[in-house]
Amino acid sequence: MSDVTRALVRRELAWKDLLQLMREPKSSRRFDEMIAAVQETVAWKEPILLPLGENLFIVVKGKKAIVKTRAGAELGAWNGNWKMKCRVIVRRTAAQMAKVFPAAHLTIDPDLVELREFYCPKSGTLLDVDCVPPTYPVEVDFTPDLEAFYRDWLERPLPVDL
Amino acid sequence: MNAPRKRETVKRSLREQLDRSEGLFAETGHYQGLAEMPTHDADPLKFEAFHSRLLSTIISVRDTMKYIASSPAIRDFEEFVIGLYTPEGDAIVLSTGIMVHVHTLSEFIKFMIRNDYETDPRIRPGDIFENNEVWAGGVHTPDVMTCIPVFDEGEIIAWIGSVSHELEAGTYEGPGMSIFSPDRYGEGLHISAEKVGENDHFRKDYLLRLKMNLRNSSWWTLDDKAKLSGCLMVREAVEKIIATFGLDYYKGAVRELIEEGRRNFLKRVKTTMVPGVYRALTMPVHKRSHLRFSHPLAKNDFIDLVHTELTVTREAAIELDYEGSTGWSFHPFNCAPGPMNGGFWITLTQLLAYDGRVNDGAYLAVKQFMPEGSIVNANYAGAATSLAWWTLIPIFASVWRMIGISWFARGFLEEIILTTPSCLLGVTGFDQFGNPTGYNNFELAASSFGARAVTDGLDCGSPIWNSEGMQGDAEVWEMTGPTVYLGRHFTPDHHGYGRFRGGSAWESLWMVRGSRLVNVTMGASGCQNGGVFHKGLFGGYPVLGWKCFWATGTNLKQLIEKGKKVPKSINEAEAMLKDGRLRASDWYCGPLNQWSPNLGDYDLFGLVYQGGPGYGDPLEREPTLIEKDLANGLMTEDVARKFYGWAKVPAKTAKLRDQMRQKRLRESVPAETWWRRERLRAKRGKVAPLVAQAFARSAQLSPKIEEMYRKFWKLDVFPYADTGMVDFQVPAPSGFYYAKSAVKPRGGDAKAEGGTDR
Repeated sequence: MSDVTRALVRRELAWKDLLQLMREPKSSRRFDEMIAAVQETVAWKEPILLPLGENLFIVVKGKKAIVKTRAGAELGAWNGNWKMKCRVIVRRTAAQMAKVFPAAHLTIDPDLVELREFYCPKSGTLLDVDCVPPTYPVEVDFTPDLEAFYRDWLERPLPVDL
Repeated sequence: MNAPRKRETVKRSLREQLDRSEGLFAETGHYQGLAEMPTHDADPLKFEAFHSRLLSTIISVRDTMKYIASSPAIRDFEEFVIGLYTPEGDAIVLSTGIMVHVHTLSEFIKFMIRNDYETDPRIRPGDIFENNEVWAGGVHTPDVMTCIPVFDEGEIIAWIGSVSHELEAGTYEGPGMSIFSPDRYGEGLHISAEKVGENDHFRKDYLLRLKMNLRNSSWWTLDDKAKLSGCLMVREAVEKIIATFGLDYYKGAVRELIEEGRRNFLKRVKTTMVPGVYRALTMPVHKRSHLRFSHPLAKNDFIDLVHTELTVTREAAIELDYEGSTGWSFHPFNCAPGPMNGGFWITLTQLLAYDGRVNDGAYLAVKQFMPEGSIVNANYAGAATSLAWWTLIPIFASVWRMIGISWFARGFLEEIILTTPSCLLGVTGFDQFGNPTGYNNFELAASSFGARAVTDGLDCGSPIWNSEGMQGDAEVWEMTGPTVYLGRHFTPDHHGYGRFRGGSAWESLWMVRGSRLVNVTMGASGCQNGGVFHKGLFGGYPVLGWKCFWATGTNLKQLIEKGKKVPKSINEAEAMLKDGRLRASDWYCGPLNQWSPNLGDYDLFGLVYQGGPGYGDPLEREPTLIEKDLANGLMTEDVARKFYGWAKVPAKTAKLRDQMRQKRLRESVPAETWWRRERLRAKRGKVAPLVAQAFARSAQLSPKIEEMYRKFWKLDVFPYADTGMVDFQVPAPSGFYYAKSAVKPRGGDAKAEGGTDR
């Protein structure tokens, strides 16, 4: 595995090396290198199929693809609404919002926008923050086309049944 | 011409050429049907040399144009671009600058072709055409396109076009961009795809029109001359390039450059992204009811919902679908295919097509589905788009975010970048020389970025719409209008919190100097009026504060004369007004967009330039980065401790952060528990009227959000019906061709339905 990719994933690259990466043609090996580098950083053994966020992954569990957090919480099927398996804090008043942003600068109208913080149920790590009008449905930001990605783009078998 | 030439025997009209080109693409999937690249393949080095000649010509000409132009927007802030186009209007090479206009110029040329300008008003050597008309590919009135045809022995072989952003466009309010105009009749001087010059000179009647319809016509006029000079320089250079390479080579090679651009784009998507469906919601809040004066048609408050679904297809094409968005209305924030293409292009050129061939090839690999009558595709002939950017910026900021999710999944962390809202000051009235004036202060072109995945957002960086933007010298703006800066600096603690933070907000405070009659307009895209620009990434927070300020009838003159403290920021001015050190007969400081009363010498105004959102959980921020912010005065210890869990010593920081994570678990509830409690509210629709109306306005145009809502909350009835707006039909433009959106075939896309499954 590339040391550069490992250092990138661990945020250990110096700025000049990051600039070099930005300027270089994008390597087709990066995906595999990144998966290997991320896999080193998690305590569980399920192979990562696709990262969904800094602390969120689609992994292989048996013949199924599921969403799993870095801390090990399992949040349902790969194409489901993983946010609804999280713990959540919804901030809908100025006082509640002042717990995450200084009141002196706070000008948001909580009647119009609410903050929804989705936490890993095991570790309390913040996975995502939505800002939406009250009662707006909880929507996941990305549903990958795993089959097209693995079979057509990476040209390799998809190790799960979708 | 030195090289041997072989001319086509059949001379086709431009419209026939355009029909043929589009037909070949539809039939073969290749630009001009180019399944093979014979010119490139015969001699790739010659092909590269040819491309380099074209590109270097365009870029060097742009730099020369700066010294001809007049307005600070061009001379100091890079708000212009120039490009070379095929006879059918497809972009071949573009300079740096406002890349918004790669395809808007293209649509302008196609508009002239489709409306048979060859017959009337005729297209002849030396003609000059100009446009800022949204129905002819434009974005908004201040973006003025100048375009000339290039002939060879009676045949049009190319177009050259240039666009500049004008600080003043003759709007009712005064500045180039209107915040409060209800319709196009208040958004200034429209040049609707017109012939404005002959024999390489602007016509006298056109220049007179500029003089009589603009407050400060010298900016527009001299910028026009800069653009025309640039076009003429490129024409001369292209003629020389053709003399070197031969006309047939030129014709073949430019087509292959575009096809190569298309192929490169697909390759880049396939190398760096992941196929699938990406989703986002933007919800700009617009308010006008608080204004002391506004047009009756525009005296209302509302929220626009724009649901954006980005699909990366199995074939590596990109599609953007806005189904579910609310409708257009009487405000200048409406979009149409022209503005939406502009928004898409600033995304493509900065994120996906920034090297190799920046041309219309990429456009052939992307599609936008803009529901007719919606905020992204207004179908009223009189719709205003003067500040279409107030809709475009949050939408495409979300697209940048969605592309970031894709890059993350592929491991290209170094590319991920979030962007930032634009915050706008307009000044109108009489300047320090007693002349009428109106302008937007373009220091907003140095907005601080949102966070990146490998570093903080750049403090004082550039906006989404111009990667070369800059703040410029305060002195330039002090010469431009009757104002002096009292302060311009960063606002501590004001950024999107995250593992990597958004760029820091900064603010400017001005004092009126040399005028007794000047007023200001102030607003911000997405974050004004208590709204939020857009969410952060992977646990990063949005920024929750924007505000602006004005004060009239101040005692500032006395404070200065007595050597007392003078405010240097709007936060300081607000504090001084509250504690009585500064007095004013009237003032405002807050998040509502403003149109001030007339101000005079020693009156004040200012605004915050908000930065973008954060990336990742703030509790994962490296303590060394926090300490750097503390040392630079960008963060206070209170915020570092309260929101980042920083406790000076590494071990204490780790302990505090553990405690904060445990507290989160205690204070949170399972999402399903929240759902059960919240469902009753969702069933009854017990939300603020503006929110209820936004849902109803979305449902009025499309069942998309309504169906998502009912499915998610398991409801039979959608509780929102009152749109809060008059329901009536308006006429779409008629009597001429204009570009329309592709229509997405609906149904059968199971993946697209899965975003809210529980």
